[in-house]
Amino acid sequence: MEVKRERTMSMPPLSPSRRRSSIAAILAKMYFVGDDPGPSDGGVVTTNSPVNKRRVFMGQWLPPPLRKLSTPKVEKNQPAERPPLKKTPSDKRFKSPTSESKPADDTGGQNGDEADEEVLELPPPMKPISEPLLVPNTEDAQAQREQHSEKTSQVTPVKSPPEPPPPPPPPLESAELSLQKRKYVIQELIDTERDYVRDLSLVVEGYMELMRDPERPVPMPDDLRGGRDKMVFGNIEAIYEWHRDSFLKALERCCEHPEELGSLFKRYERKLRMYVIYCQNKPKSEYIVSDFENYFEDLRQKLGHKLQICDLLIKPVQRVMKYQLLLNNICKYTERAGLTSETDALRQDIAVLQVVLKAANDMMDVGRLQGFDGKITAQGKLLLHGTLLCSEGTSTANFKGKELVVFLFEQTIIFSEAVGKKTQFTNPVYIYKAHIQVNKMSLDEITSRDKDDYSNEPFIIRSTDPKKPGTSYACLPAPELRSEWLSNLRNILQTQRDFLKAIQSPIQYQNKLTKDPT
Amino acid sequence: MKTHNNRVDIKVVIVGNMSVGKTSLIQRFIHENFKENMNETIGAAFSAKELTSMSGSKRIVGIWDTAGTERYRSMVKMFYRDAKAAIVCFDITNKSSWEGLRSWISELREVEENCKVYICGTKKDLVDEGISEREVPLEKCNEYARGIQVKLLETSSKTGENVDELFQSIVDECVLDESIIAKSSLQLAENDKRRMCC
Repeated sequence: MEVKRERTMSMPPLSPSRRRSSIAAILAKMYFVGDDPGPSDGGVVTTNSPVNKRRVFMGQWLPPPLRKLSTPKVEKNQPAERPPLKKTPSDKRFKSPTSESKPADDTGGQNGDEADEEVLELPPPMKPISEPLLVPNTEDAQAQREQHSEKTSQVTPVKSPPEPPPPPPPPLESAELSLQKRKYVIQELIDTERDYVRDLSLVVEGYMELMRDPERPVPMPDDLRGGRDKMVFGNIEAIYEWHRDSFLKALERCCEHPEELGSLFKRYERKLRMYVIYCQNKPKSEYIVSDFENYFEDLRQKLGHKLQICDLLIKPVQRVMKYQLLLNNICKYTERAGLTSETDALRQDIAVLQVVLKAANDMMDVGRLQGFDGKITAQGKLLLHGTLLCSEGTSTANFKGKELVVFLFEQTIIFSEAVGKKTQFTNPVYIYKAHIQVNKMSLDEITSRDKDDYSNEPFIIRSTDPKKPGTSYACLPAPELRSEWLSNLRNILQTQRDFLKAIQSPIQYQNKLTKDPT
Repeated sequence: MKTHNNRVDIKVVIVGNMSVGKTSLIQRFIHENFKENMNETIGAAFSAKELTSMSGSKRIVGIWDTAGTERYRSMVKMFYRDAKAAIVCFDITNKSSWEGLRSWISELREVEENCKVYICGTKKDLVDEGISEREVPLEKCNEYARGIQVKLLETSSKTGENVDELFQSIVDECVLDESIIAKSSLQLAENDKRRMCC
């Protein structure tokens, strides 16, 4: 039975709702990014996501009217744009009372727990103290909190769409036994977390420290200096510090207070996103490590480690994958014990993890993109990527496309070519061909021909940038993905138009918003 | 001496659809036991064991558990790196796990061409004891394995049947490979020497 349930769990869909970002965020980004992407830093990012930083900036950059109008705009737009997504979570809310009433007779004692948990949802009690490096000022902390509330709304639809949560299984065992089993899994979560922190310390306090040692007990090859040495580790130090200082402690508290576990991952979603960046850097890191195999082997012997560096560097990938397995089990036993609200909170945690894993998975492919001059981390979220048949130019007559790998970010669309299927390292590398910034992009869809079915008709993405007038591609996705690509592109362009309206005549725009609340 | 022995000689990855018994297989191989309704969810991220090859040389086999990565295929690829062997598992009582096999194998071959692939049909005991019905006929498995020239074994992590055999054949073949590579590089070196002399 367990087997079945795991199989039926679907991939988090690439829901468009995740891409919805407030006008405010877009405004901030555009101001910040400017016309052309800045120089590449090689993709190593050791601090918070660029989006959060920009949010902080926003307040100082924008004139007051714009800042104000950004808020109502989002709230207004959401239900109109995507009614089905809004619906699902509320369906769920309707459901919960019924499931709550079910085990009511044998959970009299646990209602108290649920109430406690509700209270706990409010502020994360000890976070700001413990992260001096990552939260440099109060402004940032503020942004963090904002981010949380925003994420909440983003995550819920992802979690709920295709299937409603499976009906509670028949009570196979007593609530007490389920709670006992849950305790085992929680203990396992904590024990393995301790091991994990120890493994990370082998990297940070072992390798990194040794390599930073000014005495250079093991001489570093020249080629490795000046950046590449740091790319080996990506943001593992930030990950380590967070686990050591915050997350492990939070988990340890759950041993005595298991009700705190639900919503813990949700609360730390922003931190968990560090794993996306880690994974993105991982292919580059692997490449460097294998180039300097002997050096790292010397370090290993000096440190007296059992594991090789690559075995340690894979740990974060392994760990972030395991959380969902543990949470699934904890959630299962919580449900069997009849703790409905805790179960719901855990489901949200699992959804958060799945979003993070999906993003990490997608960004792994981005890590293989080579030759893009811009800063890939400054292009916003990756909305969609995949292989499309593309041909340069705007002609769709006798369309013969070539397979290009296309990445659609919130701010840029990048065309690249997959090259060298089998290298010694992770296979295909995507060689950059062209990019178009979405604020200088137009989309032409063919509607004039006498056809009922457009699914085999390419659409045209064209640059409106006077500096590069020729850049345009006719693109044809696989039929089943066509609507997803088109709706994403349309959405982006609509956001751009809204933004333009807002920036050209902010007052009228704001008036319209307030007058026209439907 | 000891420190040198610590190093993993043969890296093995275990992949396959969800719930085919990857972690149980590792558990059986390393600890020689089986936990019904495993109390542990995730098992060790990494485990190692020393085996002696047919030819008498000792090798440390290191195993990376990939459980939990099934749906995130770009991430799984990271585990393939430098793997000498991969055990691709399917559950003989579950047809869809067999259908997933092909994609696992083609992915592996794409990323690590030189990685040896072993197909492992798990949960043999369930069929032998008549608890579950076999959904994947042995004939079909053998035919497929022969076709792609890959070794196939049906195992039971519960009884331990064929588990040691599986890992033993991995070690044997890897050691055999090593000696072939050593010989050919020796030959190359000799050829070089000769050329130098002239």
